[in-house]
Amino acid sequence: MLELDRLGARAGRTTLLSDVSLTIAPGERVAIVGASGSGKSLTGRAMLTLPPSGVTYSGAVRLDGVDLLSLPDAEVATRRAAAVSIIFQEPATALNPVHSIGAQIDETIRLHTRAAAGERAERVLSLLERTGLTAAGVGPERYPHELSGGQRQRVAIAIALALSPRVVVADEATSALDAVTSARILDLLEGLTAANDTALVLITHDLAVARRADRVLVMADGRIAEEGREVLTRPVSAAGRALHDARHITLPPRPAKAARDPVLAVRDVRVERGGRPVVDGVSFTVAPGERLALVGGSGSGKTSLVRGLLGLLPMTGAITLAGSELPAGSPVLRDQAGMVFQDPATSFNPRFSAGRIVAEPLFRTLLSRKARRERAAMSLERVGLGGDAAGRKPHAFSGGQRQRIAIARALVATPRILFADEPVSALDAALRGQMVALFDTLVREDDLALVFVAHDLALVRALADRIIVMEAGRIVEQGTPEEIFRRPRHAATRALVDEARDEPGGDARGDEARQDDEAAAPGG
Amino acid sequence: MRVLTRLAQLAATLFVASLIVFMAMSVLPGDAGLLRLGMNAEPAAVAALRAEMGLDDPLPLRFVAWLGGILTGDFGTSGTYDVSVLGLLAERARVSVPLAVYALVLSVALALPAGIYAAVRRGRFADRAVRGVAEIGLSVPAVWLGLLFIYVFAVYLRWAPAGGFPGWDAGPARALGALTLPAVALAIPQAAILARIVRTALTEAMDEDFVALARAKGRSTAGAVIHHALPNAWAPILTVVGMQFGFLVAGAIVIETVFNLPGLGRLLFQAVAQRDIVLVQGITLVVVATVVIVNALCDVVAVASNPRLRRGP
Repeated sequence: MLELDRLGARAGRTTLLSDVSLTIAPGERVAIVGASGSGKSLTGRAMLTLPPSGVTYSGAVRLDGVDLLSLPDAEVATRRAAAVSIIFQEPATALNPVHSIGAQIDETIRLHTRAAAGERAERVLSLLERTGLTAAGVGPERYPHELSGGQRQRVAIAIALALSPRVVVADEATSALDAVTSARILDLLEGLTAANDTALVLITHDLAVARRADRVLVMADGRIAEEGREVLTRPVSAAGRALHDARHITLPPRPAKAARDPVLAVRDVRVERGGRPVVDGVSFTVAPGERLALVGGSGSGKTSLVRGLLGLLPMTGAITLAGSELPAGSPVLRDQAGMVFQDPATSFNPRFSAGRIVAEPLFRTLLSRKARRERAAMSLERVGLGGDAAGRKPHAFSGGQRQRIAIARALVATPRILFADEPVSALDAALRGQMVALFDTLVREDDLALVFVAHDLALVRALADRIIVMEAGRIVEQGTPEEIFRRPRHAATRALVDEARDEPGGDARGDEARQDDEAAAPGG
Repeated sequence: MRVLTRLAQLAATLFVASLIVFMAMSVLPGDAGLLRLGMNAEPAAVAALRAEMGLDDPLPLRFVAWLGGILTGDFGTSGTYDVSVLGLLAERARVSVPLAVYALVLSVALALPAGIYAAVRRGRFADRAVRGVAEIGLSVPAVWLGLLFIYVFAVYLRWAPAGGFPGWDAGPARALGALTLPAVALAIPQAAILARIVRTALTEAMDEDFVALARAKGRSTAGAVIHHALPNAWAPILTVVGMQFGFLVAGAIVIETVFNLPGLGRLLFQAVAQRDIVLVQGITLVVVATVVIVNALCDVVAVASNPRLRRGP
């Protein structure tokens, strides 16, 4: 039904895709997996003939025998959404912030049918119903910023399915969501497409997502490297093996340490947003050299807690730093703490060089300009960015390198505590492993206390000494990874752990169990 | 709540602006009494006049009296024209306000389609052409454009009068006709700046996923830009429009002189030349207040167009 025939893509003189051929049958589920830059998204967008600006396609994209690439854009536009639709990765940017969600779903129907307003409104309501939004109390009059990430992706699904297309392309549609939400969204997508005999193309870097497909294609360097379900268990190509290996994060063992006095103790922290508490009475301590993970579903208050402690959100509560209590509302903690944000690109001033970005936390010190430059260069060197990196602007770095810059910036002022909010979730699986190893090394070398927020439980299990599970702004459970993963007590913890257990990459059990998992990995 | 805060800010800004206007005029050299009576006036007569005008009172007192007068609609009496400043302002505003609005409408009407067109055709010939024309447009001073227009359209082609204003009593068609050349001369440099801002704001918004999603829904590139990128680009565009209103008012001082229009700009020019301090204060305050209020309005509209700001977090 949909056929890519020797599809190529280039931007200027650079070849981005070559010789990509595949066919998709009605109702089929196909996964395209690959690292970032492998061309998987470009392949997905070719199915709608929507190249990013500056990119041109060659070859043929046939829908029922008609080559879309040779049609004028106005002709292709009548088929987009009606025959082939797409769901993008980022729930934060995929919906237009100034239109209500009802209007955005309605737009698709309005553009392709002559249905009257009343009938369209009914169809919008039925789509909200089918995507589970009505049950969550989300009506068509709501705006995207009022919804959670998972709810926004449900709206994106409603838009994609509005006209019952024959192919839906999900371009990393759940990569930005936590494990539980991600699984629910994928279940929904599978159910709705199967009901209509709609083909589903899952574009992902995560083999756990690819597991849901009938057929798996591995892409590397703009070509198809490997095809078939064996890639999930016995990959042949180098790209397939890299994806496979990246599922497990192994760090050098840590010697058991004697209990030490906490470097940071917080008591009864409350953070309010828009008049309602998002963090409510949270207390915890963290010792030097300890790694503390904050986990929980979206909206559980993990990020708000970290931001509140750093004085980036108004908070109340007592903070004791190395034994002495800080005055209320004091931003002193910021002098003793480094922070790594989820998306490094948005935390950099694009006009600053990497050296200047890294040196910024030193602005209150009395160091000379030369000394600051040297400290920045040293810090960049530690994260593996030597040479001329300090003089280059952020856009000249890849996503992984940018996160290294963010880590260098967090460490430049020699903090005692390092906060990290989803530090690796914007990176693909291969880079994720490297970055976690880097965190491990740096925290060890500097005897730092690490407080990190993560939804990737494989990462949490590998890196954390202690885990705090949050729900609705409160701590519902805390313990060692062993306790949390083996004997989860609270319902929220169990939901998270169960989800991780379902994924081969999730690694929710002990090492022996993981071996079993691999041998018995489904799909053989 | 947000509206009240904004209103309080507006009032504070206006108060500070009036203070600055008053102080600037008070520290200027030149004795108002001496100016009024001539250089050879009797010192006793000058002193009497100063006392009558209240010029011997301490500054704060004079400021309060002046501001109090303005708040009750009394802007004082012009020294040179010997009529109420408020009356003069109202009369001249009938030329200046339509001129500024006319120029602003022209500027937006030129810049919005040009900016949208350039953004839709980003990187292609049409985009470069629009940007090239905008570059020329913004390097040309409005005065020079005005003189050029007078030569081409009034002297050579005889399509429009070379200057002067027949008054609104002569009929709106003739009055607007007299304002057209100056409005175009004022609008073109502003339109060039605005077109570039529109293009930049749009191209930034166009890179967002929701614009790609609009295309995936079946919109054309232009449809996606107009319905999805543009509503997200209003904030920077409106900010610049608000600022441009200030430039238009300032530019009007020169353009009204070139086209011999009896507006506030020319009145201000004459008032400065004649050291008519009461009049200069009055005009300056009105102009500053207009610009501040228009900018505040633009802010309010920008907030109203953004649901994230409209409803609060």
